[in-house]
Amino acid sequence: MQLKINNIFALGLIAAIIAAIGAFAFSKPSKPAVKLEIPKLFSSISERGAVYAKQTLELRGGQVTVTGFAASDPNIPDRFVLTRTRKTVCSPCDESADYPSSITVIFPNAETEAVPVSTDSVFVYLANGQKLPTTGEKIRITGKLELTQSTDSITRYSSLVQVREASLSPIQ
Amino acid sequence: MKTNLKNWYPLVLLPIAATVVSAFGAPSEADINVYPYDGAKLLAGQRVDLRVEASKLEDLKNYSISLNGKALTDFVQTSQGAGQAEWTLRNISAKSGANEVLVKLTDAKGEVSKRIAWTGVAPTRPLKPAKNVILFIADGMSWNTMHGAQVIAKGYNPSNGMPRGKLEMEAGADGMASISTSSFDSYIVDSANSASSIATGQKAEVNALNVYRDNSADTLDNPRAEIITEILKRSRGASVGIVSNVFGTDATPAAFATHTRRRGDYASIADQYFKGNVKPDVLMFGGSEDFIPSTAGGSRRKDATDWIAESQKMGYTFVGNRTDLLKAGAPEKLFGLFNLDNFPSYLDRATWKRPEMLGAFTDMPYLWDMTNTAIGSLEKNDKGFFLMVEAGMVDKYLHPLDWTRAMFDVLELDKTVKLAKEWAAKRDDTLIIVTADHGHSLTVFGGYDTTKGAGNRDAAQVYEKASFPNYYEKLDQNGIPLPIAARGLAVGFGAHPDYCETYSGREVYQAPTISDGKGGFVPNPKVCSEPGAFQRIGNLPKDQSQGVHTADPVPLFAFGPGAKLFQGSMDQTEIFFAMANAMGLNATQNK
Repeated sequence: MQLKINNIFALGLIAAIIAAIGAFAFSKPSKPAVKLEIPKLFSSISERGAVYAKQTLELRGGQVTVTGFAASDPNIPDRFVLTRTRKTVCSPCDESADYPSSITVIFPNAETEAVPVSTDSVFVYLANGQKLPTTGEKIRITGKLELTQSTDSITRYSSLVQVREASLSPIQ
Repeated sequence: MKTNLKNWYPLVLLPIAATVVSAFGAPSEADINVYPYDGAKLLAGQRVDLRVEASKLEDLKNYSISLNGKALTDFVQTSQGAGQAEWTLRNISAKSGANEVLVKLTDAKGEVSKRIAWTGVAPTRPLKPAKNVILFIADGMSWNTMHGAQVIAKGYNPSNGMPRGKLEMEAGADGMASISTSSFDSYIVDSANSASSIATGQKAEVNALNVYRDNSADTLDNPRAEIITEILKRSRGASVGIVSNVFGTDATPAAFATHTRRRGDYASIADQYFKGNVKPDVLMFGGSEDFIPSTAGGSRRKDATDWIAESQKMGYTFVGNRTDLLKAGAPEKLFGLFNLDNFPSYLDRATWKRPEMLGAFTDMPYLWDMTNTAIGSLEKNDKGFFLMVEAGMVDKYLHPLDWTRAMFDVLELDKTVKLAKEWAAKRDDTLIIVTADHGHSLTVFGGYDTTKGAGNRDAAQVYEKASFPNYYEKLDQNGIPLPIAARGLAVGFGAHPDYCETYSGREVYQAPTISDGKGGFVPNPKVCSEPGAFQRIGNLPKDQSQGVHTADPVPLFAFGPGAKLFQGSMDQTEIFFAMANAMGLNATQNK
């Protein structure tokens, strides 16, 4: 069947209208970020592993706000670890030194080094232009929630929860 | 008798002739390394992998390797690169007395040879052999740390200055030694190669578990030394138990069942527990992260292996918390994982119970719970058992200078030793050893008047003003003192980074330093902002974030049959031979 030019115009117009509506819809401010708490990220943590909480799973891909303490390395300015309690950072860590991983954020020395996967932190990738917080600083971050068990390629920190395109606000 | 001078001629001339031949034949320039290293002391019959490595070779023509004059064959020959060749022969053993390995190589340039010596220690037959051994290791506990824990536990009679008692780990000991430590490649040890010295009698490199050095990149193919637990399984079918409160693939527990050049090979260490020669009958510790499949949140494995499920197929009873452990009875095979990672310290679990420190794990066994159950399971084997119990968090907290948590973990161990001594007292066939794998630079130098607040330098009192610490007056539900006393301890560290001192413990842990982002560390500002905190300038390199292991000797106390073999000053490797002698272990036998 041959399409008449009119029809093509009509189709084009409809497509343009749909696109415009779509663009309008997406340009509307997204839903307000939902508050997530690090101790509530998982419904259970046992010797068999950590299970994401229902609320955490529901917020996957959405905007979230999380409060915690920064653990950062100034040499790596676009990402850091947000922890529940204030922790120290060793970056890079020395494998033979027996760092207690429960109290230290470990950015390993070698690619081969396996550090525990944290269940009480969020790995944060900063949005462009955001300033890296200093270690120990209490902050609130807002960004897109991602849930994968992954090891960051630069710090080699292993996390189960990540926030991307994050912006920061300090807490007094 | 008159010596005939003529008889001596050949003896004198032979070596001269040999020297002349080698001097006139063009020598090869190849370097040869042999492992086990020259000077190694081995138990006769103890299995080791012989590895010969040659470098700077030019077109290898032929080689011969002999042990005690007998040519060895069946070597696996490899090459790590141009001009290199290696020969590996696994599971050979030394005979009693002097042993000699002779390597001869010929390459395009000529001949070269290397002679090395091992000593084989003959098995002994003690009148009263120890059927069982319980080895307690307080990771990082120097003499000073142990004594500080004793002062906390017992204190002094203020009316006459007499100590109110000893720790269980000291009291009534039949043997006692001061243990010095060193590595194959340094005179400072880490927890991997120090535990390996105890487990195999060999010196190993820092970070290595029960293997010798080699020139290949693969960390799992290094030449191995047979572990005392492997010998016990092989020669007499004894049972083996490993108990710790750190993650299960950590260096000290791993040293009693696994082999690797890198202590960080956690997944392999987990696999070796169930697939290796030892296959311990009892395994209880933290660190489930290395035993659960990668799909489980928090796993650090890269594969689908699920050792909780697999171990049960192998006949193990699995327990995951204290409640289940106490109900488990005494199964012959028991596997317990009580945390994803390390246990929190004793004070965190028993006294402070802060959610920040405990996280999701609120039902964890004490060290004595695990040890008690382990003994119940292991004692069923009439061929005896070897149980290693580690108080691993002592070291984990001495590193960040948190002496309060560390010393109370020594007291958790001490209560566990008491239980073991009471069990052993009902029989006369069990050797109990309490030692440490290395020290830290802790020293106790005075009293601290806690009524004057934290961080008060003038409250740290010395000589007669130090008075008598009185922690013992207030006990917790387990009979261990509470970490509160009007008269506390004044404690310092000899090797430390820049940090802020407060003299006081805190319920929510604070690290002494934070990264400066330039590869160095600065005092943790949070600690520095505490009332009275003052900065101490460090004496360690600036890239050190915490306290370090020291070369200082560590204590050893022994009880029961064979305990007297531990006396005076001993090298750490001698612990292995003394344990073997106490048991009358004959490594030349197979069950």
